[in-house]
Amino acid sequence: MLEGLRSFARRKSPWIMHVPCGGCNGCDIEVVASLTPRYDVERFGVLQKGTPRHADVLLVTGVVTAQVKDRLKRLYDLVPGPKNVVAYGSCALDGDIFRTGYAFAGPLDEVVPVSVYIPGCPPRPEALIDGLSKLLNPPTRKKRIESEVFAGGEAERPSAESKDQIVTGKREIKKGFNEQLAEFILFTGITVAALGLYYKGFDILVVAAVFLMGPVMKLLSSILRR
Amino acid sequence: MKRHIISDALRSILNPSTTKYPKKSFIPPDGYRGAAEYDSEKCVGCAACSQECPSGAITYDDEEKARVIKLSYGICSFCGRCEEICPWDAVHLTKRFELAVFNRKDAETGVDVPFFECTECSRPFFPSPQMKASIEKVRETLEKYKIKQNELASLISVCPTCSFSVDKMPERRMFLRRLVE
Repeated sequence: MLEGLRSFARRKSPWIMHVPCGGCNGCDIEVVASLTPRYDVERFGVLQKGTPRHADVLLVTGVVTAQVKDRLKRLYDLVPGPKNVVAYGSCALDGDIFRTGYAFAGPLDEVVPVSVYIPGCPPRPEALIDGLSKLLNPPTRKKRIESEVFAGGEAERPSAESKDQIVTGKREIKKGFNEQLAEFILFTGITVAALGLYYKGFDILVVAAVFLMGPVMKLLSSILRR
Repeated sequence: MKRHIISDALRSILNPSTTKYPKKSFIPPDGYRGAAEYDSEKCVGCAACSQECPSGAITYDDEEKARVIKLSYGICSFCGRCEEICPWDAVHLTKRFELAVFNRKDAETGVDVPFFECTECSRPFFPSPQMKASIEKVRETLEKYKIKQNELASLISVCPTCSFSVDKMPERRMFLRRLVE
């Protein structure tokens, strides 16, 4: 129960630390763009932090140079708890055009372990959102095995279907009847309670209830699903 | 001034500027350079793209029975040079941008082009679609010099080691002489 609550809280607040290593700063501009109101990664609970001690996710952009290699390792050691590293941009993956340069100190995953790779030069802010959602909701083991079995181990190779489907559709969350009923009862209960409290004159409690409603409902639904 | 702020706020409630990306699909604008992909029907395996790629993302490997062309997204800089250079119109930059993977080795694409077998020693030596395409390309020139297509095809469907053997030499020399005349 406690572990479930903890993982739930972690999934809703991935605090990132942006580590620009080397390269052309194109990816850094895209990362900053994804924090603007247009793309707004803060709606997923992402906050940018200036110190690795506060961060859960290291967002590494640019090529890992010889000078930054040891510092990156030290930064990685400072990150607490379950740490994740996201390689953002082609440079962090394999080095892109700087691959043959004298200062290139290996791909990122040879320096620190990496969870998600986002190729692109630079990737769109949408690609960052996609990568983060893949990091936070990773495919379960069963799903992964299914995809390997049905795709014949060639899930990443382009097929006739994936060519037509340029962008993947929205991820549907199917809810069972029981869950819908439970949510409906919860909703009406909260509304009735709020109206009652308001009638009695506890305005602040109503405001607090409205703020708490969303997280509480999600928590309950996640418990019900298990 | 306050009225102005209120009207702005009301307008942004009706149509917010934030994208609804993960819930709603997003299609990049025209001309967006996303992940490059090969058309396995059109690709002849000439590997011109691997010669031209500025960052060296495209490599080809001659295996036993096929030429394996591989494009690694981790090295690709999405410049679109391969699409520009391809004589057969087989590489295209799609609008696909959701490329996030959990394993670095997964971030790649490519095609396998089968090899043509030598008619003499049945040893694979040349991508077979490229041979067909090159014969098609010189058709007009052949008609001009009154050379039959089959004649040329039978000459070039022999691997280099076989064609320079002693018993093949006279035939080739005759063909060359005809070309010169």
